[in-house]
Amino acid sequence: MEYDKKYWIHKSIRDPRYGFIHLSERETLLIGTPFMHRLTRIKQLAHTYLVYPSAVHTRFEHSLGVLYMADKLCSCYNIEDERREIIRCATLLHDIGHGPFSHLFEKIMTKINGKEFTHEHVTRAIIKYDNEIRSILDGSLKVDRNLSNIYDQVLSFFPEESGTKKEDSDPLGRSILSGVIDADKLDYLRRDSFHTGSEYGNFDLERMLSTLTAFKDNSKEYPAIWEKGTLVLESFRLARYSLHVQVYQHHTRLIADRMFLRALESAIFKETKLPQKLFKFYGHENEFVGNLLEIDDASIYELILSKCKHDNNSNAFRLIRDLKNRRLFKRAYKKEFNELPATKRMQIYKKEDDILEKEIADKANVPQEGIICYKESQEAGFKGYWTFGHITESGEIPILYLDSEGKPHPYEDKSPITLQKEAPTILYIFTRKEYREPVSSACKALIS
Amino acid sequence: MTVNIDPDDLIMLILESASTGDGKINGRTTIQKIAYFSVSGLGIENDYMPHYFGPYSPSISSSIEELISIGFVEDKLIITNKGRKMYSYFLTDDGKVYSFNLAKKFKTAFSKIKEIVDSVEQISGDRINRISCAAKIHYLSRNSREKNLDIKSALTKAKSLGWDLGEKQIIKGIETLQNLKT
Repeated sequence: MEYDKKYWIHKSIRDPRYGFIHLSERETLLIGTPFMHRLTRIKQLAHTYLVYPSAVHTRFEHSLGVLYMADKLCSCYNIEDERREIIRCATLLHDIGHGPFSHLFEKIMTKINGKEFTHEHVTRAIIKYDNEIRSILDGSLKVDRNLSNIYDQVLSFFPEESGTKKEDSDPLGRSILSGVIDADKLDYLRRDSFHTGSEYGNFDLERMLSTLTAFKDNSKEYPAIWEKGTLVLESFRLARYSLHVQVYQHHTRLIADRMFLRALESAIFKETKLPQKLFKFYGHENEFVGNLLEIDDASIYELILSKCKHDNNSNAFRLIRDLKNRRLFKRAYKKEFNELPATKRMQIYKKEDDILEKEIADKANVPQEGIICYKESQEAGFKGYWTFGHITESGEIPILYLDSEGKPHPYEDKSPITLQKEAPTILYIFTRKEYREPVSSACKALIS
Repeated sequence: MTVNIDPDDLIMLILESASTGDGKINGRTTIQKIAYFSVSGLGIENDYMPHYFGPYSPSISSSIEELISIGFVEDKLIITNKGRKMYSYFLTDDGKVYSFNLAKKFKTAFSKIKEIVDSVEQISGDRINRISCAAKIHYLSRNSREKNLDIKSALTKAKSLGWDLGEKQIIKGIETLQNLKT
């Protein structure tokens, strides 16, 4: 296979952050598949647009941006063309398994399937069962230029199920898709900042790229950063933290997300208007992949509305209609768990949400459907730089620190900023505007 | 002996056991392995799986984080004699109120956990490799079909789990294991 300039620049697509993103013929074919195109109908930031109106960018443009960043990282690490193509394709496809409203959908899938579910499991299943994507990757699709077979290598980037965590055979390559510094984060922090109109996620990308390198230890290579890149890595960590607090965990977005989840749960479990089998994944992968093509942000709203519209008492219908009209629940109570009395704290922490909601509803004398309880552990975004040369416990490949003599150290030993405190878990009680006062008083009486 | 204790309460009991010593457990690996020996000894259902530093439980890991985030446990960064950074875990005042009552509720299980915590402290101290190696040997023998796992099979099995153990380490691990009150 000849990887000349023409190979990499079959098509060029404009991007508001990077100018042109160049695609090979294979990548051009991949973005033309229905599964890739479905990502144009899934917002990158779920309901964040209700707070930041211009945050309506999609998983599709993010996927292109991740491919662009993956290519930059391949250059930093001197990765040769054949491996570069595999990594570029894996990063381009990394989000095709996302359901409507991205990570929110994973929560309902975990509940229905009875075990931890991530979109990566679906990505793997789509690559396996979608004939079009498969034929583009295994080279059986006939086009002007013969395509090599990279199917197995691309598939290997996506785990079958969460399970045994072993040492990685290619930590450097995998770090580009899932590492402390990976193409995903390098793109989404700056892209989400751009589309929200905030500056929180910005950092000096050029400096970051110029200080990253590959470190060889025995037969394996690991991602590493030179000493002079320490400050930019710290600003990257801070960017991640700020964006989490200010954007991803903004309370209005949390409210909208919870209303959607509650509507979906109600339609499936309480009102039984949506069949559970639609969401069964394990053991039904092929069928699930077939159904998924039609499910996106807008269609899941419409599905709930159409199935529940004939029931005057449908909570699911009311919640989705209110979401569409931005009639959002309000925050009636917010308390950090470490502020609650020691004797009551664990009891409240372990209490099922619907039991707590019922107690509050009874005390406030309002309908239980008008209350949503949510316990949130804030993502600090500062931890996770552990373990020299081996995968972190969260499964991400860590970054090594190289001193001026090229000697590696765990990054945590050299970081000038160390956040020691874990972010607190917060208890939120959301309710309808008209119930705010009685619910707030009930919470104070029952919890504080 | 089988008892039903969830991961949050198990961590609280481990730290309550340590509170008669200096009150601290040093190192994430140490607390993971103490919890591993505790769930094995008490027959508690668990999700331990092989990880680089030995058996590792995602539930125990997230429980530690949760307990910190609700203000029952505190972690503090310390630097060992060899210059490595590690986290030291201990109960907050609010945590002590909760764990005191918990120890009374699970009296028998608590004394077993205390035995494990004390013997780990005595045998391994801050030498995390030693406890980690002992936990690996324990995991290998627990998950082996053979009744008496010999060194050769242990080496092969360890390798299949991604653990690069040598013969000497296995012998040392067995020794440590025999001295631990697991």
